[in-house]
Amino acid sequence: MHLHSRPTRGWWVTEEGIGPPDLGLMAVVLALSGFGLLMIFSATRAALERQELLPSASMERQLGFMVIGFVGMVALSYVDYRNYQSLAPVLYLGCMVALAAGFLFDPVKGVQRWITIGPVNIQPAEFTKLALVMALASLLSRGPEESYQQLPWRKVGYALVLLAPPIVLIFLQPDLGTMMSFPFILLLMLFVAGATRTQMTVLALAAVGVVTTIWRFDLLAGHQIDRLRVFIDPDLDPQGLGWSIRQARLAMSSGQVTGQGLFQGAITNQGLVPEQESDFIFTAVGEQLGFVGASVVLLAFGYVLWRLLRIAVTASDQYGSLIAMGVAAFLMFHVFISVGMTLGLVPITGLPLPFLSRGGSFYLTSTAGVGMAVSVWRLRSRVRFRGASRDRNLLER
Amino acid sequence: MRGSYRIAVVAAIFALLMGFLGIRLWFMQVGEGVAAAEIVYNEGLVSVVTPAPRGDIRDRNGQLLVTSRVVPMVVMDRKLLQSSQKDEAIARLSARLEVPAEWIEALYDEAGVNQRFPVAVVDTTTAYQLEEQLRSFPGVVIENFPERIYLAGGSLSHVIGHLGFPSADDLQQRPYLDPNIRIGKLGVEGFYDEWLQGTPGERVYRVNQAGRITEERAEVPPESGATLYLTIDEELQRVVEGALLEGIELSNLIKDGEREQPLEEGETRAALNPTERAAGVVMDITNGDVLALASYPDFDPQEFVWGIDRVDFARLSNQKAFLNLVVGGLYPPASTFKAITYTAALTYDIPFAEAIEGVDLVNRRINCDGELVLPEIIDEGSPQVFRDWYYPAELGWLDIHEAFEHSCNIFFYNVALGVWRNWGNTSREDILQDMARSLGYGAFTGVDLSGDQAGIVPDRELFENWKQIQLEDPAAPVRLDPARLTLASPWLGGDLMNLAIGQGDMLASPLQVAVSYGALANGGTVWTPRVVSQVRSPEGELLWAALPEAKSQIDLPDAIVDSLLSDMNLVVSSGTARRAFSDFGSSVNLVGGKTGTGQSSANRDSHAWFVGVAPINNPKWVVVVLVDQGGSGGRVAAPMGRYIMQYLMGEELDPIEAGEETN
Repeated sequence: MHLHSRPTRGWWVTEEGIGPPDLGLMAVVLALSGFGLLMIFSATRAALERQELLPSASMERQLGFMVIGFVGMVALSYVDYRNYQSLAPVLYLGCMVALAAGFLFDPVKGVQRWITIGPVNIQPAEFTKLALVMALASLLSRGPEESYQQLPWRKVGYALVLLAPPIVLIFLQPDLGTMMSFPFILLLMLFVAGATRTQMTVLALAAVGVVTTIWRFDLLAGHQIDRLRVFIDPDLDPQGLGWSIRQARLAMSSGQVTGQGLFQGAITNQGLVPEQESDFIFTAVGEQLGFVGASVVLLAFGYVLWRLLRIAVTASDQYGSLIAMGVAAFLMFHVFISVGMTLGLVPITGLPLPFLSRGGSFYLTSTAGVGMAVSVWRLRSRVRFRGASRDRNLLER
Repeated sequence: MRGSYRIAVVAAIFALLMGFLGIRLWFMQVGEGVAAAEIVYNEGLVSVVTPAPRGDIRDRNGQLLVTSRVVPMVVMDRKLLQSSQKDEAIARLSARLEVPAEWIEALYDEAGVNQRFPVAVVDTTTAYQLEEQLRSFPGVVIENFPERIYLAGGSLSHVIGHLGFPSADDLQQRPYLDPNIRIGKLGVEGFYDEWLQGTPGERVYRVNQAGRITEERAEVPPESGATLYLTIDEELQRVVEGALLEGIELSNLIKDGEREQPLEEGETRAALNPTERAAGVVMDITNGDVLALASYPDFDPQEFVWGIDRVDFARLSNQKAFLNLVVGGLYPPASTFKAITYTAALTYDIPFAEAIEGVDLVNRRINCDGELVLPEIIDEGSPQVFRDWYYPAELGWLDIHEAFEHSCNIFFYNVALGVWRNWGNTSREDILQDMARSLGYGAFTGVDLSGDQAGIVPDRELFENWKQIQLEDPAAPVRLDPARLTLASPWLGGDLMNLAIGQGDMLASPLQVAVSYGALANGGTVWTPRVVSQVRSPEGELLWAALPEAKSQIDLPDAIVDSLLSDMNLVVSSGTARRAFSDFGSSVNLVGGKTGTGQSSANRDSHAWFVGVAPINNPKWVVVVLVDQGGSGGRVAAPMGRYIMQYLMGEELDPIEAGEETN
């Protein structure tokens, strides 16, 4: 008790012992979202106008998600993230059911990715990312004493068991981009949860082994192989994907240093980049605002990721730390793939850019994740997350 | 390891990934940016090809036959039209131009890569009014479009050709062609398309999202195509065309008369194998210039200028109206070929076949009494009794000159028999064919028109080839009587006898006949016929000139040339064409001719031929007339030839009436 009376004063310290939210993080998320609306408008207005629709229709729909998502984020930041830790298995199972239910609906553009309820199309795979993060955090987090011991193989095994259903279900949709995000999340979370070097090495080798086995023994159906081939070498489909890649890269490059100017992008205005308002939103930034605008966006993401890692460091328990880590992991994955494919660094795969891209499911997932992380931040240990001091803090409660 | 340390490692990985993106972003936008921006800029430009007016076509005297004029064309440009305005814009334009809206709609949907399409040619008043009201016609542009004008009407169509969109083949051979601009097809429009086309102009502009032109670069104006000067004499051409049409009519009248029952009410000739096809050509035999060339049925090239109706096109196709019979119609040359046999007989002094009844070796005469009986020569596989066309009439003992004059088959059979008996199976066996080939038979004439056909000069080698093909492939066309396939060599004496009178498997085009007679009459120069003499720029500068080109030169003794020409004169004065030429005029002794009646397969009427040469004291022109299934050469073709030759010789033209029933 005496520690409470210790003069550890700071502007964030409240009387209840709960700090204020991470306003900087939330402000940047808000800024990115607002900027995303502008980009969505610039990329969709011409096409909507041609269809005799309201040019801002697409942006307004996204604004709705943005409001819901942002309110949800603030709300979650005020709820103790530990209060609903027990819901993690339920959420996880719910997502699995939803993923399986996706196969009952008619495929859209050849993939079974959506659940359609009235006017709303839900992509359960997006929510699964957060559900998996919660489930893994729940599984891997240990009490303060155990947290210094090596992660038991048993837990690594359970983690793999948790990973398998979403991977299989999403592979069948198919949505290779999202599928690849799960191992990435798992590896980072296991690493932070204390997996040994041996465990990490075994997992990495196992991943390579699985991919090789599938490839070598033709376990994929013909159309899946074709998808993978184009996934690896877009030139195999020069009329479709190859053309999209060329337009995306031209849009990026032609932005030059300061961009063609807002609403002045020739490729964006002609709607030559497919899915530009969602997966390829970064090309709209690049063409219109150039290197200056694009690097500001990257810096903003850098700030978001840095804050999330910082939350992971200062979390008052390992569960909270792993939540922040997991959210950072899937946001990093999305940023790297979505930006990287417009830069020709990674193959084309449909992954939205967090906060900017049009689409409800991933936006709500991302903001919810950030909201939980902010909650972790508010309830962080006020002493640095180091050895005994953290223990003392935990004991105190 | 502590958690915070591990998170620091993750942070380092994240920093690496973000740094990677940042560096790549720098290289793409700052490094490649300028080049990419230029590509994007250029791709945003719209380039519109403005078609060039095709060059003029003039006859040898400079008479304008085909030209191009500029007409206002209503063009719709999809890039200038917001899709929301589309239906209204089309409806308005449709009402204004009285063009069906569905039609514009179809054009709109089909519009090519540059998304512009011509809608209709309008008169200047309408164009002016539309230009004033362009605001209410979104997407519409009035442009000057060249329009092809055929001043000669339907005349000369097989020489001139017509226009049409490039076919897949054309585009493959000439990939630079614009698939939306019509090119020349057939005739000189096709053959000299590269010269006539001109250079299309180009307009380059940029259109913004709202469909407004925001930037227009300097326009490159189109350049007119070059002018062709034909070797054709338009006035002579009209005479030849008139002769052919009257000849077809005459042939049909004769057919009507021969029919046991005249045409009944409502009965049409169509059901009765009417005469429909004829060809005529006049060539200058001093240089190969084609002075007139006509073929029926023909077509009106004007109908093709903005695209011909599908039904009309199908009708013309069924009529084979696109086949130029002069260069592409292959027929047995029949008795016209006797001039070649005649020349060979005199040149090589072909010995008579001995030991045959009716041969007078001393006087070199043959009994032309209408029947040649060969009782003992079964090995030659020939029919044993050859009846002449005038059987049972009798002409008595004729020498080669009289035989030519009266077109006696028996005499020329005997020439062939002489070759067969004396030189059969030796290198001299083919002297008749060699003579024919050296005069241009069996090879392309090389005329500057499409559809040139080589024809067939049959010989032992060809027959053995045919035999081989027929033995190896049962599905191959049956060219030889199956009974012959058992013989060691399918080439028989009777085949050579048939060849000597231009029958059997011999096939030649009217132009080949003209070229060969030209060579026989001019002393041995085989000209490559041509219909274009010069190409000049629109300003009149000479760009290209066709020099007379001799395909080959053969040695013909003057005596033989003179003999042939005087015998050809006998044909018109007292021989098979005498009735047709009876009222020719005072210059009748300066013209010569030869009739021919080609037998084709059963159930078809004979093809009527006439070949004329004039003036025989200084040969200048050869005239060839062919009427497909027209009947007798002397009766139908000779009067047509006479009519044309009267024009050439400056005589008063007599109407075309039936001549004599001859071979």
